[in-house]
Amino acid sequence: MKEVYLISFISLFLNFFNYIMFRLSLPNKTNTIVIVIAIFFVGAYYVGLGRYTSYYLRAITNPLIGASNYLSQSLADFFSLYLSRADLSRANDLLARQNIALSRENATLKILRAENNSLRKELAFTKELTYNYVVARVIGQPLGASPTEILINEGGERGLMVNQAVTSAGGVIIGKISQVTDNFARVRLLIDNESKLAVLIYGDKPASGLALGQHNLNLKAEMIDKDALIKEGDLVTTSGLEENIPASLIVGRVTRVDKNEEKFWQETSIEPALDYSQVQLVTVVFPEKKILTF
Amino acid sequence: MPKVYLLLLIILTLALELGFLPGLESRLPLILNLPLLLLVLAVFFVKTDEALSLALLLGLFFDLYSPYFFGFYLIIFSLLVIILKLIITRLFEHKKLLSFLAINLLAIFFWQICLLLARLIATRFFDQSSLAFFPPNFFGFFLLEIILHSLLIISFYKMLPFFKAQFTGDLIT
Repeated sequence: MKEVYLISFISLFLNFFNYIMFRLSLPNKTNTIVIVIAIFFVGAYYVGLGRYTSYYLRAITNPLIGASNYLSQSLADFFSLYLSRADLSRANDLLARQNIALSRENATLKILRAENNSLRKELAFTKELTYNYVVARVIGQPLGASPTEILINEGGERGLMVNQAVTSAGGVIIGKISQVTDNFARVRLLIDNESKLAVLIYGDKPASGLALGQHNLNLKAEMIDKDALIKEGDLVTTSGLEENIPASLIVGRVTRVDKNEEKFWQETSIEPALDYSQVQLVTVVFPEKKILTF
Repeated sequence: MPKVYLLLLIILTLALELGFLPGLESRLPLILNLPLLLLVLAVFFVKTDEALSLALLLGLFFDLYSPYFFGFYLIIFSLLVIILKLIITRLFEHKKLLSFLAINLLAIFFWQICLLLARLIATRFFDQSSLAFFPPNFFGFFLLEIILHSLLIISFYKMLPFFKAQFTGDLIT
């Protein structure tokens, strides 16, 4: 019904437009052609023939937009290299220290994994979890939309659906799909004010919470059990409680803990694991759980 | 202007605004609106029919990637050209630099008002809560957009002789 109103409104507008040009006594051959083209495309879209009109136009413009986006990101990387040498050096030192700490943690985890495997064998418990995925390229950002929304060059043709997880850099979730057409999709990044994600925070034990985008800059996790012991630097991942969002996708790390005795829950600030503005390639994940046997 | 150049110009604007600018800095498209600048140039320097054709085609291409209903940019750009042309013919008799800056300012105001109205209507009547977005520093970006557009126009005026030659002077009449 709303589509009928829209078509009527647009048709009325185009008739008014034609009237204005008639009153302005303009040479109207070219304008008539352009108006006919406009009516054709708009009408075709609303009667469901967008696949045969807008689709082919986007097939021409998607590569151009993607190429210009790639070019500008390369330019930005090139210049930022010279402007941020001191920052790079500091980040390098920090990463080296984190690498050492992670190596120690890795060694502990290997021991735990070996123990886990032997326990599973004893229980004869098997579980297989596989994911299908589609790789897509970030081609830009919609006009007039938030800077926390991006366009990718795959859409419904490849099976993408709204609310699927979008990841990058090998398992870091950056957002969810918010709109899908045949050959492109819009992704709302996690830092968007409208974004919500069920997460687990690995403090002394995993605690569940709800991560919300904050002012397009970072994330805040709410509704965390007050008794959970969380500290700065704790890892945050997806919990798997949401449909279409697999578990264990990395979200980021805790940067601040806000624990107030008067509140029922505690809150934390989360720094995303990636700089979303630098993402060029993404993977859209289709979770598919295979046979679970005991 | 030959129509093929018009089409190439539109596609170039689309690629720059949606692809190139966000790649440099994600918030750059909020302060540099290339289609708006192009329409203001068209309204000021080309005939009305060409400006309207440009507005229709530009709107059609941007509607392909629009978060609003299909036809939104087509309507906004066309209305913008009609309103600005009426203002130019009634208020600004000669092509002066300050007239151009004033038209640019009006265009930005009109654009922002239309976007805000569209978001309001979308959230109220079409249940599109994702369009309720109102950037945290909206007025800051708005002011930056006015300043950046004005600076670009003044820079073109000072640095490009053929652009300066299109004007009859600096002061408004």
